[in-house]
Amino acid sequence: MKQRSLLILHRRMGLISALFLMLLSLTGLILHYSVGLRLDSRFIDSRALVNWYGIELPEFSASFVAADSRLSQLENRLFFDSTALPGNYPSLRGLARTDFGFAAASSNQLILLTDNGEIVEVLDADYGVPAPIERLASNTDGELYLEVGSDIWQADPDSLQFQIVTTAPATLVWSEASAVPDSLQQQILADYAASLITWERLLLDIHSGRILGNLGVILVDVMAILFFLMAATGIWIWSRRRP
Amino acid sequence: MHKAFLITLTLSLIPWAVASDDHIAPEDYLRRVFEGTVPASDTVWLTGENREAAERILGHKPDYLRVRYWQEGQRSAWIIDEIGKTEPITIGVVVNGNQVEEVEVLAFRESRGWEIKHDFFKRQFDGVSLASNQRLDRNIDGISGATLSVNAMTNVSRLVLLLAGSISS
Repeated sequence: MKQRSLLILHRRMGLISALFLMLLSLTGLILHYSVGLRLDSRFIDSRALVNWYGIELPEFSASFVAADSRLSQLENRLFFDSTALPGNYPSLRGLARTDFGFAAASSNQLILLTDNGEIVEVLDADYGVPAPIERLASNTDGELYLEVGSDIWQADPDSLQFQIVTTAPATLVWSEASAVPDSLQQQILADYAASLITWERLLLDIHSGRILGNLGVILVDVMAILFFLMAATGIWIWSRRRP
Repeated sequence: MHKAFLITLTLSLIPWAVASDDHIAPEDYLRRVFEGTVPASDTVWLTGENREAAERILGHKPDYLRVRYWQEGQRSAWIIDEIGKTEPITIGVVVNGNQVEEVEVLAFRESRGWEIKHDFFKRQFDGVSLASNQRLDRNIDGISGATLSVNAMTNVSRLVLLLAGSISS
């Protein structure tokens, strides 16, 4: 190939790849400081982006009411009314009013909450909580009871005392699941959707081309080959021009 | 500095080492700490000044309002979960007087940073206490690639020393 043709090819490749190179450099540079910028914990509130990723919002698996407050489960997350609790939880089994606030039971935990839904403490088998918990109940004194298999356990989460009772008090009120009201569902789902995609995820997917699916990955591959060819033709042209 | 180098060198020489899924049950841990008879647990609330200090030390709001501990004389054992990068690390700390007697990783759930489970790292905490600025009175050498886990353990030690101080006063 003549040097002039090579120069034209080099320029055209440069023009085509310039934008991609800028995009890759910029995203790469930002990702380099991902930890410092806490990009993995900054979320993008965009339903359009959630749809673009093809993420289907899950359905509520359980919801319980106690003293006008509702605890609902969406996948492994819990929402006290519309506020998300920190952490992940297995299947929710019930919510009960206690003398200190609320107690919720997952299949293997007792989750103690304040009146405002702040977590006081999460207790599990390591602290003597029996499992698998099927149901949660409380009596008029705010004492907690757990149904585990065919046994009824009385639970005192303060002193970590858990013991089987032979006869359950007649005044026990078992926590019963109920449907989440539509307005609350929409509110929680909106917050949930806003906590799915981090800036790190988006930048990584732009950087790798995955934001456009397989086609994007191929496009980035083609660009990588183009960058290589540009470097090769550039060196070749430079070496030919040397006196 | 040379200690940090040695730590890095040691780790680079054992690339085949992988994170083990060892899990120490709190009950077993406490039984070892108190040599058989575990005292009844007590709790301290993270409210008011304690909560503000805990937030400052951890760098985020604590996910809980109450911390459980077991005390016998001047010795107290604390078990606290703290996020490393994405998953909670369950850390046990024994305080004697105003000094850390030992730290232990009871459960490590992250895919990286498990090197904090090694004795050579944990031994650095033996005897540390809290300086007036609520930092440890001794530098803890980090581990390359385990910065967040090291931070978690350091911060939990600071928090426990603070809380142990608050219950003793």
